[in-house]
Amino acid sequence: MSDRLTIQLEAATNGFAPGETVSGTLSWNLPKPAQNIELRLVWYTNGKGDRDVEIIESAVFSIEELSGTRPFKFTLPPGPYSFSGRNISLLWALELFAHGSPETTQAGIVVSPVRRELLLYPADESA
Amino acid sequence: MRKRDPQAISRGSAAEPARAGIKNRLVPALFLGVFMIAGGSIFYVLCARPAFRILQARQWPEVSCEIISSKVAEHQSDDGRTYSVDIFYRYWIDGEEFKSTRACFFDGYSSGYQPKAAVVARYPAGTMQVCYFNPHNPAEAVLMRDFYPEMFMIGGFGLLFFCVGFFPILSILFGKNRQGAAVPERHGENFPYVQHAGAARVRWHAGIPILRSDAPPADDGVVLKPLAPAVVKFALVAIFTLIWNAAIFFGAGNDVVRLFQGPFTGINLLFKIFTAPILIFFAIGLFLIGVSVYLLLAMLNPTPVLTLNSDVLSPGGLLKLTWRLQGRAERVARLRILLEGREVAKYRRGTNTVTDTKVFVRVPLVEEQDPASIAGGAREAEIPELIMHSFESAHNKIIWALKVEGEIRRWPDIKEEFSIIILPRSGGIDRQ
Repeated sequence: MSDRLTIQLEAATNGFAPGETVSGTLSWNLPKPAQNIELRLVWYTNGKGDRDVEIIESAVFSIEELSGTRPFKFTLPPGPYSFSGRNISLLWALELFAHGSPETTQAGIVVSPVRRELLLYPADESA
Repeated sequence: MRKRDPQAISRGSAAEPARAGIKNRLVPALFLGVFMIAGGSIFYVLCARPAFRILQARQWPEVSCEIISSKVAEHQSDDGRTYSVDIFYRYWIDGEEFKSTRACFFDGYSSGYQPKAAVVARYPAGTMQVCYFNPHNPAEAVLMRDFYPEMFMIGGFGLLFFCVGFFPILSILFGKNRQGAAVPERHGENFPYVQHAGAARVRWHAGIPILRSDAPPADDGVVLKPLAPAVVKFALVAIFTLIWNAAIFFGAGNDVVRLFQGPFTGINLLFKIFTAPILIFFAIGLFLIGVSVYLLLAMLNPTPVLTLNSDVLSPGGLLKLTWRLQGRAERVARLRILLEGREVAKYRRGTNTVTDTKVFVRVPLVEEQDPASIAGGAREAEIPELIMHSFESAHNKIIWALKVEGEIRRWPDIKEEFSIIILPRSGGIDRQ
């Protein structure tokens, strides 16, 4: 996580329905020049199973200045939904990093028809 | 369960082009290679080679031979006492005398005394017998050119070991399923025990099923195929049972007999104490026989035939199910059909791959006790709009299936499972 890279979502919430657009602004303030920065829309799994990661879309921005901002826009696919179970959780995120630099940051988003994470065991949450 | 990782997830991850080093794969491959080489050697030396030579020897002409000496030889080793057939005989081809010690093509020593004693009794010293000689090399001859059940049992055991090493090695070295490789898009590739439900109508992309634009229509419904038909379950367990019990019987049968013989004192008692754990393997063998018999009886059960409006269903849509029991349905006292959702996680623990399954929902669709309704019927149910769709990635999966459970009194129950696919819905649902 880095203060030198930030992702600002346009929407007031981080919950989105499948097919909706995720847009916002990314900004950077780097100590050294980087060739470009890359923003990725990804989902990944957490839990008992070995981690799976899928890069759904990525946008690479050439940068010449040490600091600046750029708008971005991704259209979400139909799934998979963000969900949480006892063995598996699936999470979505926007990840921003500068090539040739260890700087990285991410912003978690939720993708589901109700714009909330689906709970496979609703009783677990209320307990 | 919902921890967010503070580090970059996709950077340098499996989703990026594979960079997994050969080192990561070499160690497990070498480990499994030991199984493969050991199993392959056992299979070749004790089964394939003797079988090939027996087939050759069946073309050899016969000739009279004289048994010069015949006895059971004893060999002392670290594993205890072993025995072999020690027969010496001579025969004449075109007036020239040849001598041989080969009784059969199944070489080696083993702990069983009785089979060797039986061969010696069949060929006593001083008698005239029939042997078979190689017409291309008359110095080569054999007394017995029959196949032995032990050959195939031990060979099968070796083959099992070979497969235990060989197929995982193939997967490790060449499979796309390893750590560091791209997530495959084909359903069932990583979970081969799962039937490819809806394979003709969906394609898998980035973990989700997507209806093909050229999908064949399912107007007349789809007859579902069981995940593991009863005959397949029985065959797999029966083969494993056979191999297990053969290995135990031939490997340790004599030791078990000795467990119950002789006095329970002194060195004998010590032997019995150290040998007693073998009984656990025998108990497992008996348990496997029991399971095989159970599955054999289950094969005679009525077979459920399920037809759905489609094996690819959409949230908010209708599930139209018809069922029929083929066979003697009147034996079934109670029938249940459930829609089951479960999460399946696969992970590595040491060199093993472990699969953990948890059921997150079971929706009863059919619950019948009336004989006519058990034999066949139809039911409709609405798929909830907000439901987790089918999902599959390399190590994690959401599976939906229809489970059929039929109770039969004093008989193994019907337990069949049919995989279905639930698509993600498009768009959002505006509700809190």
